Amino acid sequence: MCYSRALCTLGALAAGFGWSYYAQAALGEDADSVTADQVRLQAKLQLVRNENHTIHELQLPTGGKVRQFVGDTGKVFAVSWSGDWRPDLRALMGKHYDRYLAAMKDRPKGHGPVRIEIPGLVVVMGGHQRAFFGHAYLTDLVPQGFHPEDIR
Amino acid sequence: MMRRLLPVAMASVLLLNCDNGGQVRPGAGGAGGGQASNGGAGGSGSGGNGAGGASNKGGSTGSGGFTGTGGTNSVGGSSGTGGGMGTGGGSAGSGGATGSGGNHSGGATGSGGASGTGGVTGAGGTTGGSGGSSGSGGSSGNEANTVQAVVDQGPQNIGYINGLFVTVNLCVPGTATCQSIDHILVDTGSSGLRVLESAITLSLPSVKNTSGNPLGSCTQFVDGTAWGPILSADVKINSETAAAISLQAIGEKAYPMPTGGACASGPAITDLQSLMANGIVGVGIYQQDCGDSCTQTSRNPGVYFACTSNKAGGCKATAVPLASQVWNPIVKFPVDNNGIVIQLPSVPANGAASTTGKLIFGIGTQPNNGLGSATVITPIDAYGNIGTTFPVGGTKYTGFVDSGTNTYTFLDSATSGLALCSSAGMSSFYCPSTTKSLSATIFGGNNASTLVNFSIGNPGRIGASIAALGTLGAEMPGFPSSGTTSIPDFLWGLPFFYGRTVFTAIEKQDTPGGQGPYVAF
Repeated sequence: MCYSRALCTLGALAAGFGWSYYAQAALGEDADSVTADQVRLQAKLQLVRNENHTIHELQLPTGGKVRQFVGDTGKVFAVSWSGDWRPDLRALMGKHYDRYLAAMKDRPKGHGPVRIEIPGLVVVMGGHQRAFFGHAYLTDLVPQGFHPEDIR
Repeated sequence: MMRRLLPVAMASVLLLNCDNGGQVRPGAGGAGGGQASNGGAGGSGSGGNGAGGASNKGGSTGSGGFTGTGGTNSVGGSSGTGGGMGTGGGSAGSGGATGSGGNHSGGATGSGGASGTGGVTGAGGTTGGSGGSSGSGGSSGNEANTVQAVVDQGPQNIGYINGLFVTVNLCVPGTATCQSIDHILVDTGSSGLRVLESAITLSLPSVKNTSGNPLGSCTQFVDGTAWGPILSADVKINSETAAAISLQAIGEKAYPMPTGGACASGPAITDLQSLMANGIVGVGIYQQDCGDSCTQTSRNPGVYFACTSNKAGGCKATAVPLASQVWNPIVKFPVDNNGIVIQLPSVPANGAASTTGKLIFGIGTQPNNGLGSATVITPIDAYGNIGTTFPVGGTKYTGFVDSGTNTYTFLDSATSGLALCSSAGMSSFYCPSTTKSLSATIFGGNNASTLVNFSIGNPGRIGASIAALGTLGAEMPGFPSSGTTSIPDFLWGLPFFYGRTVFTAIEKQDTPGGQGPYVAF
């Protein structure tokens, strides 16, 4: 049973190559498969229930974290990641990944943190080697009253 | 002073021509190409890699050497190699390395020329001379632990702003079969050497796993992921050598980039256009790029791969021992291996087409790399971040010093009070109507703190030829963060390094300022 702001640990599995599989509950899609992700990822899953959304937080065996923000409609409206290295963003961002890649081509020359803002999609990437973070969200699916800065 | 950008093939990418190259001052650090007319020489020229000549068309006036490389041409040097390669300064390596003496900026630091003798006598003759060999280098020219570092537009004039580059030599391990590669980006935000596959002409051996399968890696940078095989080479930077270390060759020539996992984590960095450099040398706080987690199967992030076929899917994620990982080459130098110093001159408020400084190996190991009055700032978290208070006495944030980021990237417009640019593609850059002088305090986990003054200007007004701009600022994407300490709110990029001497100490290595990691300035 989960209560508001309470953490529910659904399970933890033993060691293994955690990178082989990745989240299926991609950005903009149904959250039904989050539990399956947790099994595939051999990750600890915690749910945090908030007023108008639920955060599904996967604690990966690599030490990293992936969070999927699920609105009351059951759709994933935002994803975030943090840890030594980035996870599989294609799996996490689903069909929006290629749009993000295309938008990256238009950036000015040089290397540094990223903010991509294209119709309907915002992607942020930052950090440095062994400390990466980022998030992506769909502007049209963000629940009323939700602040994007709360995507962590 | 006339300047012209000359793209020259390999080993010397961007060179500036300078009309007073001709002045032959004694010494001049050997002057490699010295009298080599027309630089043609370069290649065969002298010292080392012939740079001098090559870089100076001015050769006819004898300049090569002298201004040669290094000098004058700030840039020239770099690629020209002067120094790095021992060119002019020949054996002493110097000229270039110390920058040159020459006519511009380098002058400030470079004394190579002053006492070198090679120059004039070097006489490279028509081929560019061998001045080098006779150059004895200057007093400061003889800094084996120093390589000239240049800020310019990058390889093939690609248009880089605030990229700091050095020339690196690769050799087949244990042999004298070597090549030099210019425009390797100096990055204190990562560890390990990565070079474009397309820039490597040597046949370097693969690093393999215990089953004999070649290794590859998807190495993540903040804005993309570099793929390519792991190779072994002797890595020489000026006269210091990291023997038989793993480096990453960037590209898909050997194996196609895997499509999932850590490789599907941003744009692919596989070529010059995506890397915007011929390579990147991570001289940051870590000894290896990945470290312990990649040695284990239980928490392996999957950035290393073992390849059994060059077909799609032929490379699979694997664990690799530390020894096979890509190492920060500094750690593998026999001496001067506890960190680095980056020393760059200030640049004018309106920017400069190039500027030349030094990358010095070691901290407190030689007369030229002492901490002096620098403040040692240790990390405040497990991610190597430091603290930043902005404005002075104000809010505390997380920060990071990173020569591989080309802006001051910090806060957002609302918090910093700086207006954003309106032009397309520039909307994350700050564009104050007049240059704003700002102050912050940088503090460490050791409770040390020091004041930092910096300025943010309006990049909308700079000329197309500008490559060094000390007032370039941008918003930190994702700011404000709600309380995750691993996210730096202040990224002190290359502009921070202008006019400063900045030390980066490597983890677990002892220095007079304590054990790394830390930054000091």
